[in-house]
Amino acid sequence: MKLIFTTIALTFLLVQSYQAQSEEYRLTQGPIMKVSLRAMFTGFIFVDENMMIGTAYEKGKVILEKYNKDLSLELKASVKNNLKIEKQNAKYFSPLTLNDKVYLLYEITDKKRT
Amino acid sequence: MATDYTVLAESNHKKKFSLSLYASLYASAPFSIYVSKDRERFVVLTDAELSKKANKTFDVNVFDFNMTKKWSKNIEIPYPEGKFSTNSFDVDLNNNVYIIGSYQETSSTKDVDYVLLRLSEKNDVAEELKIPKILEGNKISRFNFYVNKNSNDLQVSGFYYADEGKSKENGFYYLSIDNKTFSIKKTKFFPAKVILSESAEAMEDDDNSKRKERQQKQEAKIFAQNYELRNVIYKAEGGIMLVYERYWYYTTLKTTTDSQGRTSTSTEYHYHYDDVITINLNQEGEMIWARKIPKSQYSKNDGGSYSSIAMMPGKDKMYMFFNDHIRNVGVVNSSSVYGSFPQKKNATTANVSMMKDGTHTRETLVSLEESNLRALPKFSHQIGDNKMLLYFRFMGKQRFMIFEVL
Repeated sequence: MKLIFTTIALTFLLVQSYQAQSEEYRLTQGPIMKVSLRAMFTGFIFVDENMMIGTAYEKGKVILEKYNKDLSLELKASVKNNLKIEKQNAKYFSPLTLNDKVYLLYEITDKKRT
Repeated sequence: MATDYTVLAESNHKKKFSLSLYASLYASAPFSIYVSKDRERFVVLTDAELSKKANKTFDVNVFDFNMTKKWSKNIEIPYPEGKFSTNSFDVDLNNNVYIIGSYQETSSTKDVDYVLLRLSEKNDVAEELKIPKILEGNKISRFNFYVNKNSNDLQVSGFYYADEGKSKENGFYYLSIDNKTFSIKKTKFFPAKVILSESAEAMEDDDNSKRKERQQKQEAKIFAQNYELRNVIYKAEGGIMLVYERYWYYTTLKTTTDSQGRTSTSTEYHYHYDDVITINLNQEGEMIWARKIPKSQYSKNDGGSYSSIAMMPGKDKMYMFFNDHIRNVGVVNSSSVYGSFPQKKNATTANVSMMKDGTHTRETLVSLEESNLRALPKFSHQIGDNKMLLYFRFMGKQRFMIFEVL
């Protein structure tokens, strides 16, 4: 089964990031962005401090996001709906991470063949 | 039911992950992946329902995060198919897999037995340890367990309710299970009234009235029903810290009448996320201290999205983040606090820093006026030894922040 990734251009409002610092800690605030995962919010997974990816079922698609170090969005990719990945027929497993890569694993049930 | 297994995004790392092999072997069998609590190993468990054996079997595959397979074997569970359900997992230092699950002989809930299973490379059938429903006169419920990295023993905790004759006593229990003999080595019970009085003493509250005592008694009665375990922190020197949060919700019906005189009824959901209690246990399971962080978070019809806590165990301190009232900043010695969702000018995201001895401070991390957004603590994650990624969202906007201990 083939999967196609489509990369969508970054179109979000970017506001300058800034840092607040005390003797004990540093707080880096990212830019304010439009909420990108509009439909069902399923949470985030984080690979390491330089990368993070969100997943959601949005109009039957799986949305993946990658962020820069300054916490602005680098790219947004969606998996086309040829797998019919929907909330109803896809079970999401814990992601597997290895170095700076992530494995996203889904169990997809074809309900028509039940 | 037909099932496909698909890796949606795959690493180009040279060591290929061979899960597709198992998927093709058992094309109609579901599988699960469990990461060990120390995040050094993971288990791929295929539900081998095509097996001809009378009992349920699993294909067990243990990997480390270099994708090296530690072992792989078909293991029989000593229960028939459909009678056993898994609850939680961990892997010990010898790569043995542990499962806490429930075995139900009939459809009656009274017939549920809780068991701990050990799946190892050397045995064809899983070893079984039945966890008694009643221990020392106390009914136990909920099972959070992990492998102690110092002793390789297993430690289980949850709630208990006193059996008849102990006037509704409840609290939390702690079991230590010997890895070598695979038997219960130690049992401890911590009554809610002891935990609450210990945490109240530490508060040095001026208000020591009888009303407060009554409140504490009332809270103790419902401890096991109202408190949820939010986090277990495994201390490097052995022992654990358990973080509980008082949480409950209820529904009400709301009837409205429009200008035409038509009435309609809707359900409203009310969410309460209140005090946090942290309990520090040493390696022997003795309580070192218990501390309460008072908070009062109430919201309705929002799923409690902006409530609860995010937390990060740092090197020397533990940090907690939650939405709060600005007037609660600095509060450590009082049990009464302002509600956490005031008007914008009084709203803040608080940072509680807790030292190893239980003393703590409560300060503003970032105010709502400054950030423009509210924190969603449930969607925040620790991303390094001393780094926390916090997620903020409000009115269609979102923002990330990184809290980094220097």
